[in-house]
Amino acid sequence: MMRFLPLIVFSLIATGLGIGLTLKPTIIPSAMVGKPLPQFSVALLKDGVSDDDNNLTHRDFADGKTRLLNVFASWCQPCRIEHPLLMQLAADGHLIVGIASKDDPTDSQKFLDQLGDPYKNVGLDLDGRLGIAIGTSGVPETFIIDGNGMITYQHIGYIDTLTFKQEILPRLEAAKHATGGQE
Amino acid sequence: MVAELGHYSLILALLMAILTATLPLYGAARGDGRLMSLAGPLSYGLFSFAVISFGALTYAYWVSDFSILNVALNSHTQKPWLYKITGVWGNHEGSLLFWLLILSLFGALVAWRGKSLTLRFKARVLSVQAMVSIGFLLFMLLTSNPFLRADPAPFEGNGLNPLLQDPGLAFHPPFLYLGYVGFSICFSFAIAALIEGDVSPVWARWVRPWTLLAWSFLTIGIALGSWWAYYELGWGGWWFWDPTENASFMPWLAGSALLHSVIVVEKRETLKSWTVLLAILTFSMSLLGTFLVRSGVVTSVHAFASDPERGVFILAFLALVIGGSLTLYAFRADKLTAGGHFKTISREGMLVFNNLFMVTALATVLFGTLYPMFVDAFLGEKITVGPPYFEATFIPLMVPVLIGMALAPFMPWKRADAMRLGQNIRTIILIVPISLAIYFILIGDYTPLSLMGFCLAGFLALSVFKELADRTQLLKGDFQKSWKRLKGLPRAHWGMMMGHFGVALITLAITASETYTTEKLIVIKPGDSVEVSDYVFEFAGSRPIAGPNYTAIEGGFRVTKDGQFITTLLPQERTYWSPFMQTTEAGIHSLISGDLYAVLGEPDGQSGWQARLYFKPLISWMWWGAFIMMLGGFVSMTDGRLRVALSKKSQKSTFDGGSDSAHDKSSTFVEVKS
Repeated sequence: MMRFLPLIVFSLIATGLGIGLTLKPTIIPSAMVGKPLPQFSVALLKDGVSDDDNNLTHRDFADGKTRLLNVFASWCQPCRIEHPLLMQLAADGHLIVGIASKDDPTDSQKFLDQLGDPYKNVGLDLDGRLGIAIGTSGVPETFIIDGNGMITYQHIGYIDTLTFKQEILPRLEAAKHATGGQE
Repeated sequence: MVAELGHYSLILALLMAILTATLPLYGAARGDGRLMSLAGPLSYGLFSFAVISFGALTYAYWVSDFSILNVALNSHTQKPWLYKITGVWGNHEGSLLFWLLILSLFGALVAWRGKSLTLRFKARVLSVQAMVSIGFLLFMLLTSNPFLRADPAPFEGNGLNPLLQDPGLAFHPPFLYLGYVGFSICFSFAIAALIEGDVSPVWARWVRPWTLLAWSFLTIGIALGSWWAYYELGWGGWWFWDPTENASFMPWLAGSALLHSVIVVEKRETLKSWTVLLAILTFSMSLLGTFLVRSGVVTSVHAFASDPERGVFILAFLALVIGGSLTLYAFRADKLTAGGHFKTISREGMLVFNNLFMVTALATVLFGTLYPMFVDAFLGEKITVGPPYFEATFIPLMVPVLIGMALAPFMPWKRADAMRLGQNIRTIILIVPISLAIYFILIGDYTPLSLMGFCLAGFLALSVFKELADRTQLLKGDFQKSWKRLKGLPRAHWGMMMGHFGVALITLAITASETYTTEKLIVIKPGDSVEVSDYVFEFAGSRPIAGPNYTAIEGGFRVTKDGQFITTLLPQERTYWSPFMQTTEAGIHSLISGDLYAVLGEPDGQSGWQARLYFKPLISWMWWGAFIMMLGGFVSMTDGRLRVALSKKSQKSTFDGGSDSAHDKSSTFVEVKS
């Protein structure tokens, strides 16, 4: 019987691990998905400085056009990985709004001058409060905002062609279908 | 192109591994010599493809090929070349590939040097080794392929965590992996022995050097990790009982037990089934360590579950390897008949004693590490098990281990005379603890725990020298004879002495630094000075400096003692940009008597700076202790008698049975020379 003891102890541990594996939700749903964008108003980026006359607000999104909302920063390296794809998407006619997160406007502008600007406009989230309000956990993140200003999807981390095709594009099409196209 | 080459090699390596795991094993069961002799060439093939695959990934890192996702996520063109290379194994996928590389390298080494093994046994060992490789290959190919493409390829990579851009950490994982994987050979030998139903002294002589090798690497790997934490994390801590650390410590504990029990198998042909179980346990702990930390199951169940594919795979793999080998053990262990009997007070008795305490210590660490996860899984509560638990359970277990460690070398095999033993070491028992106790009680600055620590360290260290003096009859005054005896001491004996002396140094360093560290937390203005222990730290001011990929504020502390200049400490507060991260670099100067340690904090806005200044007595001896232990392991490994196992002759038996006993002091560790 003693010889079976190690096996029994290990079986118990393995069972525990197995139960632990099934108990936990595999994807933690984002808190803001399915809710309208929270009320906000931030200055826009214009020629490397903050444009204090024109703001980006939650109202800009409820105009019947489906958009991608991309949170980026010049100090963020994964943003550089996904940037060529964003340029491609903009060229394909997708509307992308940028949020420069905790970044100096000069640096954000340099980043866009260097790599190209895929954004319709860029809001400045200087202190990171907007990021918290819309439920980001880091940079980069990409949201789908439908024509009613609702957040229908949140992607954490950078996007590449594959994730875009598999995870974002179908939802983007669905949002457009439900609340109106982009153009 | 290079990605495809690497990927393709992985697939070919998998084919090789499947062939190695099946054909020779089948041949061994059928007695088919041709199939059995395939094991060697197939193992070389497996190793070759692992080399090509690893080479491909290394090349991709070298040239910063960001079309490979793994490179894009973990490297950067501006990274120093050294960290480009170390980045290969600094991530999940790459570390698995590194594992595979060493796993197949060790298999190939057994194939190459295993001439003294019977064809059948060697075939079985290599098959088992290949089975483990299959697990790693499937894990990589199915869930963690290092050669996935990034589409589109970015212009610049994601960099490496700047905390990891440090020699201490860059070389800490490979040493750990060399340790973990070294135990895979012991595991394969154990499984092959279970299949064969026989454990012989020759078996032990094979397992011993591999255990020593793995154990030495693991020792230095753990020490490097601890040293890194000490100088990089910025508050002078060196061990946190963090799950990641425990994961490397558990195989070390099991391996230390194995190291000792395998000696008993070699010398006395007993403890066989226990030793086989320990070999399985040690490698199981290595697997658990690698996988659980890599997948994050221990730190958080959520991280484990965030990639369910990997989680399920890991669990299935662990269940197969550990569950399978323990099942085999349950049914086959009774084949392993025990040999000679021994009394409780004997060298075997002490080694069993060591094993019991090491394994109990292992169990408490394992329990503390897994407990939060189980509570989270079953009760949904978040708890952490911190240093208080580990200190309360681990330290009491180590006290008898240290005492046993000091006593065992004085004892002969089979049966020892307690009276003689007492006479032999009464001087150090009387002198060391009593003089230390008087000293510390007189100076009045002690705690019961620290007093005990100093006494144990002193007792252990002196026992090593006393035993050496006994063995060389140094105290009899005939120095020429003593010198001859000294030279005649087997290397395994030197290894043991170094190992035990290293432990004494570590005990001393831990006790001294935990008890007598002086810490000053202050706001200091340029020109001001503050006294820490016997040292005066004068703040010279701060200045901005720029490194290759960071900017930093550097503070200068001029340290003097009794007006004598000692050193200038230059702690830094660094800001890295890719990715953004702030780190502290402590300013450290090691003296024999202890470390001067300075950390620069934030400015207070009125020309003052926050600073933390320490004097940590004797702390660097800890790493020297670990270094001596590692050296001891290597010295022991080169012992001629272990190499004897490689020659045909010794296969018969150079085992010296009961020839040595209490009357023959010098031969307790000496074998019949061949």
